[in-house]
Amino acid sequence: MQRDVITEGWFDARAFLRRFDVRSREDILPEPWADSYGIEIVEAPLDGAAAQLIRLADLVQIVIPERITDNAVRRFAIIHELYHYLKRHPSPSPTMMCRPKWMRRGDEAFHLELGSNAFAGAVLLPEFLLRKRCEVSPVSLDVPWRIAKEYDVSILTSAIRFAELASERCAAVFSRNGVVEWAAESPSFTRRIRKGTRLDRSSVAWDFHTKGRLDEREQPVPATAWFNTTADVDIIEHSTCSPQHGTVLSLLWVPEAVGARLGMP
Amino acid sequence: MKKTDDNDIRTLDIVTHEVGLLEMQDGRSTPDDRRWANQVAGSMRARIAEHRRSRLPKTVAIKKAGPISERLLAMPRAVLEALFGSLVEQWGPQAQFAHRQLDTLSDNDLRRMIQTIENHTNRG
Repeated sequence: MQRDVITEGWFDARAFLRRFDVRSREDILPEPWADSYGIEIVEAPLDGAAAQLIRLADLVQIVIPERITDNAVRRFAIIHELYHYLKRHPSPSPTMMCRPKWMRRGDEAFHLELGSNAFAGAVLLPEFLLRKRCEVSPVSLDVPWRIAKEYDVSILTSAIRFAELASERCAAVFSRNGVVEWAAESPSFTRRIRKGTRLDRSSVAWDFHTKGRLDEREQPVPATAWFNTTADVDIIEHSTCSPQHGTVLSLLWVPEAVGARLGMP
Repeated sequence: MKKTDDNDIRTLDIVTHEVGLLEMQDGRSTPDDRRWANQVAGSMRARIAEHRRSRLPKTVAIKKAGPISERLLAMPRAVLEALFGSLVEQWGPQAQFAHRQLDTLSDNDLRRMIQTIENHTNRG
């Protein structure tokens, strides 16, 4: 189910980019695109969400919280909500919307959110413009950082997209409080890093969650830092932290030479 | 539009229609026909997309949400939830809501949604 909605999001993104004749970075225009569908963009002191879509017959609004001033986050939010609108995704019931987050676990909206995220990532970072740049070796956060800056997206969006388009075995892993929140693996990175996994003390990411700092250079770490394996080999970890949010983004790279020993031939 | 233009367009319509019917009856198309048709359709789509892109506005005005009314500010959570539920029911499938990273809708978030719906309901 998760894979299906993500694949559909990517597919729809390609059609969307064709629809607006996107040929270069300069053609990626979230606000004018929304406007062309008659959608108003409204800023409001929205407390409980990172963005909101309201459609009432011919009135369509994308509401962006005033507190979000980062243009990269705003662009992503607009495309994310635009996809909900274009797909006419069903709304949760009023009762469900009014419930706190912990009572909404497992609802259908979760899958719709995944699809909208996949669409937004693929529209803001088009495959046809970026695939070649993602087919690099060695792998580090350098390329995602450059893409994030050039395309005005967050490093998280860029790292996920990099992993999606990479030819090497790599994965972007996001952790908070020493626990994995999500991971995006490249097609050749065939082992899963599960949500909820506790970080191993030999990983670079672990340093931040215990010491409040980390060495932000790509470096070899034992494969056991990230995998349940008996193979005595190293992989490469490049991590960066956000002291403001208390989070770490790690880009893991399994080089060709050790891939087979980790079950990734 | 001049009458001669009218006649020309009407003639073209009739001829195209008749040719289309003949083609349907014949029902055969060669790989070359299909290639040609795909090329024509592809080129038309590309021109339309190019036109669509050229018509995009350079800048888009961002609206600021207005203040919440005193009436809604005075309402407690339970009343707000009931009112929201009834408004959503009233709009039926014409209403759509989505939230990114929804944590909890605060009372004021709910008031603002209600205000948007009420304003639009009254306008209609």
